[in-house]
Amino acid sequence: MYVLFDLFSHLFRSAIHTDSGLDIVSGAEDGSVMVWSGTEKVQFIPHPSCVWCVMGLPNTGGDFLTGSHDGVLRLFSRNPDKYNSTSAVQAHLEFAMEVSAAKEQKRKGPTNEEIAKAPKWENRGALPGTSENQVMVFNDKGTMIAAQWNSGSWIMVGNVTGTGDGGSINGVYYDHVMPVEIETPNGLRNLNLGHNNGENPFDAAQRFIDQNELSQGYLQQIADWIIARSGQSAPTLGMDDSSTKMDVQSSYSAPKAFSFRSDGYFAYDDIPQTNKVYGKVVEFNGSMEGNNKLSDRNLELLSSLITVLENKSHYVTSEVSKEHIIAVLAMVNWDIDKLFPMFDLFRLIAVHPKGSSTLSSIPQLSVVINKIAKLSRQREAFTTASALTASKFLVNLFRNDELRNTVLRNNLLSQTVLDIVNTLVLHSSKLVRLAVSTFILNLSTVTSHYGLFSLRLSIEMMDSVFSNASQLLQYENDSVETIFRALKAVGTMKFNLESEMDIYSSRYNLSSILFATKDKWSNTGKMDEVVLSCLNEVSVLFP
Amino acid sequence: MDKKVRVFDGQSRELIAVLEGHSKGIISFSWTSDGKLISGSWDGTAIVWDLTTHQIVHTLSGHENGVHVLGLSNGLVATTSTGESVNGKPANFRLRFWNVSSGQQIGDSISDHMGSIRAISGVPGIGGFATSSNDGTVILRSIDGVVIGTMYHPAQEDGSPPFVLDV
Repeated sequence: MYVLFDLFSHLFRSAIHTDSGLDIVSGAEDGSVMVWSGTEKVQFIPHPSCVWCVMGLPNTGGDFLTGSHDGVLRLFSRNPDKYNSTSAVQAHLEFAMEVSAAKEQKRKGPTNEEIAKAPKWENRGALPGTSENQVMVFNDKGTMIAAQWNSGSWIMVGNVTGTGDGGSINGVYYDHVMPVEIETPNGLRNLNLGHNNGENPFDAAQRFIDQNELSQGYLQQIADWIIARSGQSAPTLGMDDSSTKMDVQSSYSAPKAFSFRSDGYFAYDDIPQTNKVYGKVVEFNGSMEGNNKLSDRNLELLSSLITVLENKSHYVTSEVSKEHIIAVLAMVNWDIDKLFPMFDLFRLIAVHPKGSSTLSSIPQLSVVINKIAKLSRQREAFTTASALTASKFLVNLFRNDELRNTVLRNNLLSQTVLDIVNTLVLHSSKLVRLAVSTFILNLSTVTSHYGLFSLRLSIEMMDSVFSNASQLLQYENDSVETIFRALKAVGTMKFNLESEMDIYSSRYNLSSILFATKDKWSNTGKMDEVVLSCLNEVSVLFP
Repeated sequence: MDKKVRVFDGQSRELIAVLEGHSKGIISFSWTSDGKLISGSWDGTAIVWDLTTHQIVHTLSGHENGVHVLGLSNGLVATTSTGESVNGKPANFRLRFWNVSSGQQIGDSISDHMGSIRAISGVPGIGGFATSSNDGTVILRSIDGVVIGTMYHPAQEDGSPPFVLDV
């Protein structure tokens, strides 16, 4: 029986030895120390923290040392003379307490201390991010929040809520479970992230991504977040001096530009210049009469809505109500060339978490879609500005789960949307065509989901992807990006649905169109590496 | 941890020599059966040093990142690696044997661990050695590396094996 008999107070690293004979001792990062005789387990000695090194002491009849993360060296012996001394008994009692205290600590939450240690949110100006999309935690007046570095500023992405720390997710226990609201390409979600002490943050991040079907591109950010949240330094795959990064860690980076794995849904979420939208609304309102003139109440609602929509950093918490949306539709009968502010507001409502959710549950959704459909049928009347903002709105329908599912599951709504897209595909404006291309890419992305969010595309939807892609590939002469997205769309369909797509590819002659596309573009020098390689890959998929 | 080997006089505790040759941090030491020092480093190499001349005898290269070393009683040196990244996941954790006189690898590499190999240590009682790994196991081997037995650390509360950092 090994019993702790002495304590030192500093940590040292040593070369490794085992004891004589068959005695072996091993220490692990979860604090477990095992003593073996040959391959037989002799004793299990849990430690309060990670055990970095162990060492057998020769000529002592089997004493050994353990060095652990708490900075304490512990000497163990099976010699009763050594472990029965008073100091040894005392040391053993302390050890037992430390071990059980450590177990308790695992279950406790992020302490006030931890929150206090995080940089203050109001001081974030002094802490620029080091890379785009980096995630850090901040102390926002006593609440721990997570924020992402985006185009030069910190955007709050969610609260680190909950006081419990250890817990289980889907029946699996973790040392730390953090309920987090996170804005993903699929909208605002409440998720649980679990990770363990000493666990490589990239392993935990990958597990979180896999469990919640998030975009692989988030790996680095989530790992950063775990590291920041848990105050860990480099993952335990090896200690190193700070000037060298491990090869393994640096390879966990976002996927390359082109791949058939879903990167989430594309959305037109740029915020227009402040007051530009409201200015236009007021200007146009000036020439309206009768029912078309916006009431003061509506103007108020629009003004507050625009303020909400422009304030991206607060999307997580701000509200968009049914009244707001109804106010937007007060412009629905305006002249066609004055409709684009309305569509632009819908474009933004669709990417706002609460806005999209509200929109998905009210009849106004059908109203705006039907309006767009009507305009698209009067092709000449559908001015470019309106056609463009409307088609961007349609692209944005995919961003948030609720809205996307509402549209795709409603036969009438989805067919109306498809009809619009099918009409706009060869619009004279290249930006509109780009939006169509983006739409079909988003549609194809639906096939990349499985499990909770899976939704089967209807025949009309699948046909729409191929029909529009083939037209774009044949007739687009301006925008390489349009071609790129169309290629990705059909590639994604084929990649996910395989031979089911053969009927569509033959219906639209995809392989000869791809061949012709290669021919047309590869000598122009206008197509970059990534698109060319995509073209090649897709051609292989459709021989 | 820096990249230098420092040799101290055992009696006087004075620094006698600083040996340079590794390009990254050194993580393990051992002795060959004929008294040479072996060091293993994150730079993917193990270096055999002659401590009388302070010169490098051989550099054993080609390891997947971090190298742990062990001098064996049969005169060979065993080295282990922590693995390299393949498709974003760590892989290729290898155990190799080397002839110290020629500096050449002997035989094939053994890749039976499923996680980074973190330590290697001699077990005189069986004339062999043990390797421990991130896969939660300690593998007891004969001097040729043949597995005698695999010992498991208890799983952590979430079911995953702990990284066994030392043996």
